[in-house]
Amino acid sequence: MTRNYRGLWLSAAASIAFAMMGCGEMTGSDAGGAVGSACTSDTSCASGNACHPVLKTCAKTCTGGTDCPSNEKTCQKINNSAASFCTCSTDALCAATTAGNICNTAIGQCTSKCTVSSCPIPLTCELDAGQCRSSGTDAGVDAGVDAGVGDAGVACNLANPQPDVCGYANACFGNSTCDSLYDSSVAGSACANMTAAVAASRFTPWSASSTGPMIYANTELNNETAGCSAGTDVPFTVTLYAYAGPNFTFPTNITAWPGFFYFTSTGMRIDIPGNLVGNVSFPYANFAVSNAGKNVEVTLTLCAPAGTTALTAGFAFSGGKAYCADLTR
Amino acid sequence: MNRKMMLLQLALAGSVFAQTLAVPERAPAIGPNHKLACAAGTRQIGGPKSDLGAYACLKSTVDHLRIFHGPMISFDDGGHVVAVGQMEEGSRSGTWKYFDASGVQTGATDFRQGDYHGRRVEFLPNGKLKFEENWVMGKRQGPQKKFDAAGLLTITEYRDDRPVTK
Repeated sequence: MTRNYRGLWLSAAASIAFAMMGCGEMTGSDAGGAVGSACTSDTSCASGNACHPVLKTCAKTCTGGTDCPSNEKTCQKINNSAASFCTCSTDALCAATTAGNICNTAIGQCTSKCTVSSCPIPLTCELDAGQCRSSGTDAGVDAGVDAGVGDAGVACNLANPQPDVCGYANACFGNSTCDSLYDSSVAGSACANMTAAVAASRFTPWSASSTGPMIYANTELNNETAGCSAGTDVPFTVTLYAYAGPNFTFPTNITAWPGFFYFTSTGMRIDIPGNLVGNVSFPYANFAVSNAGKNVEVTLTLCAPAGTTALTAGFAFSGGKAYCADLTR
Repeated sequence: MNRKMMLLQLALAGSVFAQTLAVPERAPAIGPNHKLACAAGTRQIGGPKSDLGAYACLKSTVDHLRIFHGPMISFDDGGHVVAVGQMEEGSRSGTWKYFDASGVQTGATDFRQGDYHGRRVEFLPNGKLKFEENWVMGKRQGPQKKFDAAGLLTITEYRDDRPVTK
C-alpha cells in the first residue's frame, strides 16, 4: 500500500518566491532587544536572544536541552530559524507548570488557550483546541503562494496527525517539510473530474477564506478482487485521509459528517457519507475518526467497467480543497 | 490591530434553556423485515446486518450510477440504529437524527444537497444541549451556541464559517 501526497507542484513555486523576496533587516532595536520586544531579524535582539520566527518578538535562544525549562525542554530551530529556541512538546507538560496551559504548536511555547485576538498575525485562533493556526496566508512573504506557517522548508513530522505544525490548507509531505495542498480544481490541472464539477457549479474552488475539511493523502489497495457486485466490474479501493478545518470537529458517525463528495469524470457530485457512490461498495464500518475528531479516514471502492486499468477519482469536502486520486491496477 | 470578538458569555440556567430548545428522542424500533417507504422507481436494499449496514432506497441514474433516494436508516455493527434520515437524488437531505447504541439521541443535523444547511445540535449524555449551530450551505452563519458541562452558554457570532471579529 502506497500513500500518495499531492502538493509538490506548488513546492517549487513557493521556494522560488521566498528566495526572491528575501528578508527585511532592521538595524535598530526595540526596547534593547529584550525578550518580548518586537523584531524583524536576529540583529534586532540582544545577545542571547533571537527573533522568534512566528511571534516576531525576541526570545531566549538555547544550545541544548539543559538550557531549557522542564515544560519547554526541547531545544530546536523553528521554521528553519538560524537560532534554536526552547520548545514544548506536550499539553501535559505545559499544564503541569501552569494549569490550563497547552503546547501552542505553531509557536512552540506553552501558552493559555488562544482567544480570537491573541494569536500573532497572520495566525488565527482555533477556538476549540485553543491553538493558533495558519489562516490561509502568510502575510505576503511569498504573495500567498504558500499558505503555510512559514514557507517551504518548515520541518514537520509525517507520523503526527496532519496538518501537524503546517497549519490549515497545508500538510507534511514526504520530505518531512510543510507545503500547501494541491487544489486539483484549478483550471488546466490534470483532474478533469474537478474542472468539470467547477464548470457545472457543483464545486466551489477553495479560496483563502474557505474553512472546510482538507483531504491530504490517499492509499490504494493494490489488485483487490472483491468489492464490486456482479463479478464483472473492476474494483479500485482507496482510503482517503483528511483533517478538519478551523473550529470544527468531525462527528463520530459518518452520516453526520459535513458535505463530502465523490466527483465522477463528468463532474457529477455524489454525497459519500450516505451513499453507494455510483457503483461503489461502501460498508459503513470503513471509516475512522481520530485525534479528538480532528482527523478522519474513509475507505471506499469504486467499480469501473471490466478491463479498466486506471481510474481518476475526484473528492472534496465542501469548503475544502479538491483532491484527485489516480488509481491503477 | 485591535481585534475583538463578538462573544457573549451568558451565565444562564443552562438546563432550563436547553430543554426549551430541543428534547432528545429515542431511536425508532426497527424490526428485521422493516419496510421503508421507497418511492416508485427505487427499491429497498440492505439491512441491519448487511454489508451496507443500512436500509436504503436505491435507484439507477441515466448514466448508470446507483444512488440512494428516499428514507434511510443506518446501523452500527451490533445492529443498533445510529442514524435516520432522508436521501434526495444521492445526497443527504432534510433533518437527520443520530443515536448511540443504547438508543439515546446524540444529535440532529439539517442537510441540503449533502451540505449542512439549517440547524445542527448535539446533546450531552445527560440529554441537555451541547451545542446548537446555524449553517447555510455548508457554512456557519449567525449566532452559534455552545454549552459547557455546567450549563454556561457561550454565543459566538459567525460569518462565512469564521468567528466575527471587528
